Amino acid sequence: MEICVTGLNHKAAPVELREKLAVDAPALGAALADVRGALSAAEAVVLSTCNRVELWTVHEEAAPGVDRVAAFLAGRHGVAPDALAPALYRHLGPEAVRHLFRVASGLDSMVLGEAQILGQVKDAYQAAQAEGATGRVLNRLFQTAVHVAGRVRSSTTIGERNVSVPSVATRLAGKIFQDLASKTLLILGAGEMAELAAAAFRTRGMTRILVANRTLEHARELADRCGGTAHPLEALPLVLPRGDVVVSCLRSESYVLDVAQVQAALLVRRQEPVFLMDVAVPRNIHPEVNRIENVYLFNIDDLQAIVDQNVLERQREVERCEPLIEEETQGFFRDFTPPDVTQLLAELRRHLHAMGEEEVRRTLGKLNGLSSPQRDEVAELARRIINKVLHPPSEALHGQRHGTQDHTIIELVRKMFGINK
Amino acid sequence: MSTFEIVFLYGSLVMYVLGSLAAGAAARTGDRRRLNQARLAAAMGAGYQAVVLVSMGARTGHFPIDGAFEAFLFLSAAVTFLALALDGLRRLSVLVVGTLPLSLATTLLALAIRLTQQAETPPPEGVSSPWTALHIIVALGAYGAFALAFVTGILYLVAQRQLKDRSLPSMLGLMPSLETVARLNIRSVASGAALLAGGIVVGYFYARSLYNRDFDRVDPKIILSCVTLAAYLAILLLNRRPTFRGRRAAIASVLCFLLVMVNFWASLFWSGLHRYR
Repeated sequence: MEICVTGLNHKAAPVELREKLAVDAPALGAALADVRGALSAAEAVVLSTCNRVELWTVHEEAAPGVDRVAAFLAGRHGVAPDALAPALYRHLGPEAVRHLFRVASGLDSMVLGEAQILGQVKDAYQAAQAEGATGRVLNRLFQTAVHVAGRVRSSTTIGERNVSVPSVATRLAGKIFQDLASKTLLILGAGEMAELAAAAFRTRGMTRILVANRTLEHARELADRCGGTAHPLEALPLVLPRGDVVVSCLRSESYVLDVAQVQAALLVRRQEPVFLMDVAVPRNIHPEVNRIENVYLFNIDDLQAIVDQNVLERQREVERCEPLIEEETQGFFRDFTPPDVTQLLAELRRHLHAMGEEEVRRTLGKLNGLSSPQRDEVAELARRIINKVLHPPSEALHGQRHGTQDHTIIELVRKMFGINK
Repeated sequence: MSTFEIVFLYGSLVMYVLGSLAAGAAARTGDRRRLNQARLAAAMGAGYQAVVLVSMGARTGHFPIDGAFEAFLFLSAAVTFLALALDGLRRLSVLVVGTLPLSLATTLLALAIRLTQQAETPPPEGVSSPWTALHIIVALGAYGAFALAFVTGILYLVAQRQLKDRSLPSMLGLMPSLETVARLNIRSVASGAALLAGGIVVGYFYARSLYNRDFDRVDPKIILSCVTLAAYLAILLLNRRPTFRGRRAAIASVLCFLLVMVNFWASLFWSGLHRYR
């Protein structure tokens, strides 16, 4: 039995290649059948995400070479084998198991520690299971992978720090306001960044959205898409006091908001805190605004610096994840490899016969006057008794040989008869 | 103190030391395991102190908080239990992180008092009265609430500074929002003021009945308690102004805690009526 994974991911394969090999959910059944047929696999799982395509297979004999898998993939997806082969990786046995545990834990993801991949691993496994493509080995492997990913996430902080600018921005807002859903978001600008900001804060429950822009038409379009209200930029002195979170992404050569404007808005707001996010380049908000009490100003570099720091923290956290992955990989093989009953029985026989011979020697030393045949008979008696005693446990252990993965019986026998490993 | 009580007393000290170390690590790294260790140590430390107080009460046969040592011990346990309860109810783990060093300091003070104390003296007059017990518990409850206001005030100032400076160590990961901390701060001030007012009223009427005449003795502790109450009431009043809310309220609650400390000091050395044995 050999576990094998062959695949490609974002590290070596460009998106043009990944998208050609991608398998969507409805086509998974056919893909699994093709993989099992073409690669002579007893079991198979196809994991296809934006960043990776992996074929997980179990083979009774040796796994097929990477060239054979490349030829299969190239033929099936209409890709030149030459373009495919350099991007493919292949892992066998413990390497493959370790790889899956790392993938499921997000350690092999483009965004280190992201949790989405675990759901995708689960989906791929469930789809293969539904198609009847998994068996004893892959069932155990994927179930263990889900457990390992959970353990990694709960034992480390790999997934706790935000590593995208929108997620950092919403988290910062959450560090100022208790309930974001009850706050008002004011967006200055109506471009792509404005739309991204609106989407990020809407996921945190913010529904009161104001959009102010030089071109009112664009503001209206964005406001319609995000369920907000549109205002001309000239109305800024009126709308600014209403914004608890202000995201500014206007194209402007000079500051759109200065200290006096923000102070005036704060007076109207009765000094309620305001979170200003200046994601425009050149900046829209005068940096001195941050000196005003109850005003918290972050520009794009501040947000990016937090993202970078968090990425660094996640990378540091990988060092804490690796030993867990290694431990689980060892554990998987320890539990999965059938216990070696034959070796145990040989050891048991050797051990008991050595004890018997020792006792026979001691007894014969005390019995004087025995002839050589008589001495042989005594020795034979001891051997026969030991063989009779050994017979039932030997039969029982041979019976277990193909029926169990449980090492506890083996350990018990070792303890009972005092056999050291 | 019995050997049993001494073991539990030093056990609580060890727990607070370990808890403070774990809390410090959790604040630096945001490590959840360390945070759970800090929670466990805090619960055990406060639990041990509660055991000591209950045992002392059972052994002596009167209300156990009749001295500075016991008062500090009660205060330490009460603040820790309060922080743990708020953490459990509102997921405010940062409170446990903030109160553990305070509980450790209070326990160390209690131990210092204990070690410098002369031989045990009989309890003061009227200590076994349920009114005295109520007066002491309500007053110490007020000090506990003020301690929490102190901790939340510090936390607010730290979090605000981090946000202003855009320096975001892992501490901010444990932090609730500034709004939450500010609300907790002002609620602690309000609870403390209400409890202190209640403690003063209960004490006044009980003293009148005890001395069987109009109670007109001027006691430094009573004066200081009234000053403390006035200061915290001023915070509550000023907090109605938008310009005071948040940072200024936090600074005020930190500074006013000095008055609480002086109040304790008064009990130890200046006060006649309230002087601990």
